[in-house]
Amino acid sequence: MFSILQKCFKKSIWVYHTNASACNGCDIEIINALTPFYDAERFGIKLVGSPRHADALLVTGAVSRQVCPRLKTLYESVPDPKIIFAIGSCATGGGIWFDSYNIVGGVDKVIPVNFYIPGCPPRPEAILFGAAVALGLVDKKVAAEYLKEKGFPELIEVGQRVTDNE
Amino acid sequence: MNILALFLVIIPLVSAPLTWLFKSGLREWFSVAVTLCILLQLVFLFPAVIETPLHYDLFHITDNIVITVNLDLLSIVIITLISFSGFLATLYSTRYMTEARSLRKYYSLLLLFIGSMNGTVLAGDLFSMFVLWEAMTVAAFFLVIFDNAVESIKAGIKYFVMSEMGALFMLVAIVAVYLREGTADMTTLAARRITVTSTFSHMLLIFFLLGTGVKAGIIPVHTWLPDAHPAAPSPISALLSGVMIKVGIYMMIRIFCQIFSTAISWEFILCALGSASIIIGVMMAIKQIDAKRLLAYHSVSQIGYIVLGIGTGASIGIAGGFFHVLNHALFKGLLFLSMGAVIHRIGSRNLSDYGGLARTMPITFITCSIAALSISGIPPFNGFVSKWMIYQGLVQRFTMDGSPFIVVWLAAAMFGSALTLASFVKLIYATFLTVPEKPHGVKEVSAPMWIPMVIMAGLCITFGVLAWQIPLKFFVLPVVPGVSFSGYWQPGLATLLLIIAFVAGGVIFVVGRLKKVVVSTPFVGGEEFEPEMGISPDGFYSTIKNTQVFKAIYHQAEKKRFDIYDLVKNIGINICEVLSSIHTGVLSRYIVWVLAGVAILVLLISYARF
Amino acid sequence: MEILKPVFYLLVFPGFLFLGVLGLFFMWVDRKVTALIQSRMGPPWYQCYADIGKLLYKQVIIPAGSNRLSFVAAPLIGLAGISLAGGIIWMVNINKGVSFIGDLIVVMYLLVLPSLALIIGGAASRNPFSSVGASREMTMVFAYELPFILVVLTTIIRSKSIIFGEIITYQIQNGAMAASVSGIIAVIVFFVCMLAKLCYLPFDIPEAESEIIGGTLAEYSGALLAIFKLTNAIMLLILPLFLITLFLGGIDVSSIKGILFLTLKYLVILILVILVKSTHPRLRIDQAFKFFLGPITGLAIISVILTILGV
Repeated sequence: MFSILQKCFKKSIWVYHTNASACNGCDIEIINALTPFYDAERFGIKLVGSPRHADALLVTGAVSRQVCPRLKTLYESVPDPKIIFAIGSCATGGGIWFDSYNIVGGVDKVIPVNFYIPGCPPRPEAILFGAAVALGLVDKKVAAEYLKEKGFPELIEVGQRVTDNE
Repeated sequence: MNILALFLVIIPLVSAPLTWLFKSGLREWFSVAVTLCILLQLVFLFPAVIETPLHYDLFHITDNIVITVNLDLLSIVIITLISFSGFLATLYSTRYMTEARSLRKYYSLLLLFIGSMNGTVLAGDLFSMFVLWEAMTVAAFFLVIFDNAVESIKAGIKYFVMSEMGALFMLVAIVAVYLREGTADMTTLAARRITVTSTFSHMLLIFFLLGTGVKAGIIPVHTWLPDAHPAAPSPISALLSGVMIKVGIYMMIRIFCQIFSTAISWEFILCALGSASIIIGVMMAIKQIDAKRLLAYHSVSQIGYIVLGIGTGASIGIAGGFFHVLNHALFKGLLFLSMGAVIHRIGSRNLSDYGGLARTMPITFITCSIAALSISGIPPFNGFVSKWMIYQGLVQRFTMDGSPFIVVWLAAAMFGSALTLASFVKLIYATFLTVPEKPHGVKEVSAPMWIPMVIMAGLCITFGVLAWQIPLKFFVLPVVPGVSFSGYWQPGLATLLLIIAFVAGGVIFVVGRLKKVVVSTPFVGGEEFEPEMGISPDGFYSTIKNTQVFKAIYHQAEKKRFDIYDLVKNIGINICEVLSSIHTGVLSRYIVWVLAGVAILVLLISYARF
Repeated sequence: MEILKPVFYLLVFPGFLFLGVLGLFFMWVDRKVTALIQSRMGPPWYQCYADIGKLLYKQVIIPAGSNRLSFVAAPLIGLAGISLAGGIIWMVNINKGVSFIGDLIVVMYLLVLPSLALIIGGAASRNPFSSVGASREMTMVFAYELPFILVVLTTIIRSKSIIFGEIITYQIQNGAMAASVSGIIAVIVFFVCMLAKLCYLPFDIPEAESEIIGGTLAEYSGALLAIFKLTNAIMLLILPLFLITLFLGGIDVSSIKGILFLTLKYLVILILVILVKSTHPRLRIDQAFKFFLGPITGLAIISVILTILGV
């Protein structure tokens, strides 16, 4: 019985969108994702007006000082179980304002984030792909790699032919 | 048995001055004992009267004018209502009227009031009924002005003047009936069933309608009600609204249904006045923010339902109206008592001062909600059954006549129900559910105050759910014979099914409580939640009030352009000013007037001669 | 036992379970047709059931300081009222000769209960946006009750009875109520009032999502919200059926042809509702109030007058 309800959760996610000091680019892309061309409703995703009704929180924008407590209140208003999406580069890690005087940083500095969807702004397809990954419909495309741990690629000299057969 | 009937009147009237002898602690309980005693008497009288109505002569003044006692089914049900409400109101007053100064006056007036109401209903001939009617008016007047505030005295005087004007009209009509028929005994007159054909009988009915209408509170002579009922102390308001109005309806039933056989035109007038009362009462009530004034306007509206029921002329309509008499006494009394409890604790009548009382006064909250649902006619409570019967009366009338106006009355009655719900949603929200800036640290009221409320709420539920078994079988259908139901309503089964559906919903709730239920502050867009956010009772219906049509009407009503008391007062004052300008005080002017009058008289006499 | 039969009727068929399952299915039809109008794919067929299941899985949050009894009881009142009303409407159509629990007036008063539940729920959540929503919902009830009552009166006038069985018999004998000028106007007015009662665009003012954070339902979450959504679904099923019973000849489930005809009638009404819903913006409360008390009440009065004249 419990597991049936658990499975239902994946089939219908209701999102509440909030803008934490964003430039509105990501907000426009989110709205695009809900339009008929990209159609998020076929996954069961619906936009709701109150955080109490929501399962997923879509946060855009780098978190500024004023928004910080309100974002915390919002996070507590959403009932369990919840999924938090950080959409856009600013939400993921602060974007190009990560060390500004009034920006706290990415959203994960304030509330725990489940899924990051980078991009400036991320295309609606990317947003939907992120949502699909969250719903378990597709596998993740990339895995995080730390470039510092990999060595640099082999250097080639000018004029050296790269093909195998000489 | 004959003497037992008289005791219903004698005991309160005699005990009224006796309360002056008691000390303050005992006085209240003595009054309660007196009212309980009357109620117990009824236990013996009721079955006896069902078998044979009681009718005997008490005292012969002349050959034709006889003081009779008449206790038939209609009277005994109304007397039961009066005594029961009187007992509960007296019990309630023991705790409510603690800070008042002259409690001796209060209890004696209360007993006088109850006794005179019993007497009015018990009287068998028109003259003694009239005497006791006046006694009831006087007792009510002193009770209305009890707290000696300027507003109360103005309200009391308005009530008294309007009642007396109505009573004067009624006296003229009574004397006319006596002179025409040769007897004032109501039973004999009912047997004759005077037909209403000539202008004279129409005039008689107009005068009777004015007389009883003022007491009942029908449009347009209702204007004393919204001033007098709030001014009185709350248990008295409960009695005024619940019972005294019904004595007016009782006389109206006697006159329109028994003594005169009503013509079609009179049914039309009664239905029209009833429907107008329903709509106008409720529209004025929606706007009020004084709790008791709101309830008083609702009394006007519900009296409209009763008069509409009586005016249908179909037996089920009259039975519905009569059942609504009983139901209204129950839920209106309950509303006034519970609002009185709130006023007692908070100390103000303004809705904006209330709030958040659902936690601290749970009994008041639950009983008030039951009363609000009953008065709006929500099934399965008792208000729905009586309104359902009135609608059936209208439909049956339409089936017989085909008169198009019946559609107007029916639409007005059903719409009035929705409006009543609207008004009470505002009341319950503002009093109990909204949260004020600082919470009132009030507690629930004490036992003698909530026991009457719980009893009345229980009766509201019982009269609704067991409508066929208890009230209709014992109180209503014996009084109004020949009732045929054309609708279908099974309240017992419906209540059971509603409860089961409710429980099924509860099961869903329990299934959904898989994770722990959390309590958290309300969400207001991420801001800090401050308690003074929230819509005020004044602004609850700002959309309705600001619509152009209603705005103009409310504006005129506030300037009292529609108040018949003020209109007549202004006309009277203007006429008197014209007349007083003639009396200048100069002697020569007076001599001129006298000579002119003599000249006119001479001319008239000379014309008459030739 | 005698008492179990009505309980079965209420809880399973044609009551609670049946209405719930069918209502949620038609709610999906609503979303799918809206999607088709907007040239997109809509949600899959199990979407609404998944919604209710998901809501049951969520945590229930009760606002601090609110009256817990009213907050929890409000959705239950709405569900009880609409289940009983739905049960009555189905039962009187299935057994045409036997009255079930009440007559037309009972059903009209029971249909007030879901709106009342929204209002009490909104009033009991200690949230200013909810109280604004409650005030607006009550104003809407005020506005649409009068035309609603008037058009139901046209049915009562024609058939001279308030018992459902007799109304349906009248329609079987004399043709549907809608087969006349006054009937058509009455159906139009009933349709508009039905939109307001269902809280569908253009009248979804009390549940205005982005304007007042969800309106009366702002503080509801989890199982209580599931009950409200279930009530909405059952209302979507019942109100067009009420329209069909009163004006379009009643429901006839005794033959396959009858069931097909019923489905056709219901789907036509539903698709009209969806078309209006998808193509209109939301009205303001005072615009809606004036609209109902002006043109719609005028149309209803015309319909009543024409009915009395026999047209």
